[in-house]
Amino acid sequence: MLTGVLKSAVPSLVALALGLLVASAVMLAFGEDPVGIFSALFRGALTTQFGQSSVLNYMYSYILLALAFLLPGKAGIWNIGGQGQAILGGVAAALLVEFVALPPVVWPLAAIVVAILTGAAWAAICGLLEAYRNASAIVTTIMTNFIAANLATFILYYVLIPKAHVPSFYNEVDFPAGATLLTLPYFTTSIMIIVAVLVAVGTAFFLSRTTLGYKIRATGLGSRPAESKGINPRTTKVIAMIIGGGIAGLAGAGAVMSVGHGCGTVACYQDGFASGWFGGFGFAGIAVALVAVNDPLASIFSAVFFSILAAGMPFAYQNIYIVWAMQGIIIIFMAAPELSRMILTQRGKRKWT
Amino acid sequence: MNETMLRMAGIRKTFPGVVALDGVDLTVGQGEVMGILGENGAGKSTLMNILYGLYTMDAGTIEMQGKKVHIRNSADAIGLGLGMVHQAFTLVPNLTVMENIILGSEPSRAGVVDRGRARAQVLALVKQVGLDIDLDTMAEDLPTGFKQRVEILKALHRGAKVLILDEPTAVLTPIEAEELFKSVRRLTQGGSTVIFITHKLKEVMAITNRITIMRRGKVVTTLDTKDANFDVLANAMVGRQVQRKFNFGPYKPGELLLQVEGLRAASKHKTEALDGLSFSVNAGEIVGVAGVEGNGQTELVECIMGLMKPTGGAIRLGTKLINKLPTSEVLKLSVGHVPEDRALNGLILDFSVAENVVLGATESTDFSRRGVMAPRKIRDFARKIVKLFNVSAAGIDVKARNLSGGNQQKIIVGRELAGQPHLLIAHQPTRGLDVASTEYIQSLLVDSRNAGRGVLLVSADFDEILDLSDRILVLYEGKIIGELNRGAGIGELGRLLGGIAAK
Repeated sequence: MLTGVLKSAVPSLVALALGLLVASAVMLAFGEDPVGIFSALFRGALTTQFGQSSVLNYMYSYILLALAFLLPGKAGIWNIGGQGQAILGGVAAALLVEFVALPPVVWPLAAIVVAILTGAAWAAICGLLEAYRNASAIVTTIMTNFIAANLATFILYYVLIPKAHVPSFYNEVDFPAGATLLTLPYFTTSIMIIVAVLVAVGTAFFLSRTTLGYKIRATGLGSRPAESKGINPRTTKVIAMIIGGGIAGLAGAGAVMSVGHGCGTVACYQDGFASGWFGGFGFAGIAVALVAVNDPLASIFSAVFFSILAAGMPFAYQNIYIVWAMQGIIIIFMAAPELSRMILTQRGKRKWT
Repeated sequence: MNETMLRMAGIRKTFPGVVALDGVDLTVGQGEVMGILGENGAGKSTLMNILYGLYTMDAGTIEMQGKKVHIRNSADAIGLGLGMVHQAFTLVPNLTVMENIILGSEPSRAGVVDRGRARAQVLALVKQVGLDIDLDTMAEDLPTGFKQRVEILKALHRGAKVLILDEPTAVLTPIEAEELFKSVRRLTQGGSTVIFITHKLKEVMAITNRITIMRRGKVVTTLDTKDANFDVLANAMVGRQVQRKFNFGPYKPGELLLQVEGLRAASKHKTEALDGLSFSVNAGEIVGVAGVEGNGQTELVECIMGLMKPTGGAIRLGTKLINKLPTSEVLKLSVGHVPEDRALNGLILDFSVAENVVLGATESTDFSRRGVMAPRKIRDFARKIVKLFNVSAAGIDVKARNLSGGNQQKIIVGRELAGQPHLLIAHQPTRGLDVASTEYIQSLLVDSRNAGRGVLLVSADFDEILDLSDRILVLYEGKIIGELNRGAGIGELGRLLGGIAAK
């Protein structure tokens, strides 16, 4: 299995090299200095404490959202809705914390559980629509992302911020200290990165070794043979969506409950949502999964790379747009071959009979 | 025969591992209806797809009106005056009849469709060939027979002189079929030539002038329809290869395993796929369901296996009514199922051999505990299947995709027989397999029967049906139109298969 993963990493590495090359060419064309930008980016992300913490912060979200995409994908259902599931998970966690006071330890755990359940329920809607009403999840998950984002904004401004009674220019809200997640020593980041890696390892085990994971893979690779042997592909797809949505919800909980997103010593909604989540963590997660050829363990490594690019960006700020452009180019190169391969195999399955 | 319109000579076509056409000659005269008769896989459609430019032939020549032609794609074919009406229609549902007819050959002025001229053309065409239809109806609102009529008009509007109809009555009601025959007669009176592909004896007798009978990629004979009768056609169509010998024990049917009563089911096209059929299977016998594909076999098996809901009637396993049970519950009642298409329904091609042998069985305590699979037990089981059923595979970790069809089928049959089911439903168990694999799998079915299991063998391979079945049920248009015992003649079977009920 490991050699298989290594073999499948080859195209990703080639794509990475090509992406860096083309990005450099674009930078040169615009009179920028690619070597300077890249070295500033990597140096900043890897050698400063802020950069390293930032890498870990991006990484847990990328890992979890990659899993939220790839696990339903194994059942043949496209969850593009990790973004919305995470946002609503985070909002649900915040609502619980703001409105229900619980003893320490139980408090954050309860908030995480609520976030997972919310993400799962939100994903279940699209899963059910695809399984029983033939509405492609690719479309419905994208559409429900908008609903989730606007719902979250509404709740943030009309429920959470008034409740917290902390009018602030940044709309920052102090998160109750007893409900925040533990912070790692040395880094200014929460233990979410450890959670995310454990979830990735757990997902790998789940898919390869459990009977439910087997059914999910069977449904994705051959829903008709699976059905003829008594595996209900519809139920299985919905279950896969629910699990994926739960993982995304967990990422959302991390976003609001982690200290150190740049809000100093407290977690804050503003940072948790506006800067990251609305900006497209969910979609970056899909790119991470595609580069990892939908392998849960490989997603960890793929997330490292994407996190470095994201975290190093502030250090290469001569021209922030050229850095964004570069990220986009690299993502296209890394994700496109796999993306097109996946679409091709999907189409192949729907041969005319 | 009139002046020759079309001549195909020495046509050969191979697909990987299969010779689909082997030196086929076909001559069609101007203005005649040529019937091409044959069972599934005889090569009828392949031949027509070559003529229409959808496949390229490996060898052979095609002449139209005495001139050699090269048909590289369907545009070439259309340009030469060939038109094809497929079984699946290609109309655009939300365009009108007229728009559909002109689609692809619209009369236009400066890039804009000239609707006035188009209407005049189409009206003239409709009048000329006498196929009445309302030009302003949306295609999606048309009944099936009229959709087909639009397809025919579309081909004629593109200038078709030779019209190929591929199993045109398969989707039609008997009255619609009668209308189609009238249309075909009008077309030939108007000078068109029609090639009529079918497996139905009545139809070739009713509509054609001459008949070419194909079997296993070759032309058996070509004769004038006036010289033909059902027996001649049936014998030529079914044919008989060397009879294979199996080691049958005495025929001692035991307890009742499967009872189907008045079963009804709707097909995907909302037509009646199963029309109240009844039969039973006992322990210790092979019951063969013969029939040309598309007569309800798929629906019958899917209803029994819980993959499709019957619209009426009863299915019992033993005494238990299973009409509404999901597949997983049916499988628990000691039923094995070899699905009709091993690549589509039988195996997950991107799963390894080991993963495939436990498909649907992972919950069993043999293979998992509390939801966690036991890879060692699964692998042991896979090795056992591979060994027991002579699968030649490079190991149990190779993907099913990389095995030959025969080995794939051995894995499926092995998987299904490993549970020692009381009843085995084998649907097209040897289709497309080489001789050795075919015989091996057939011998496994016979062994199961001798061991006291019941086998329901659903097959379009008539040799297989005749060789293996203790009783033969002939399925035709969703009904069982006849039952034969072992030793029945092929003529009798052929007549029933062609829809001619027993005398």
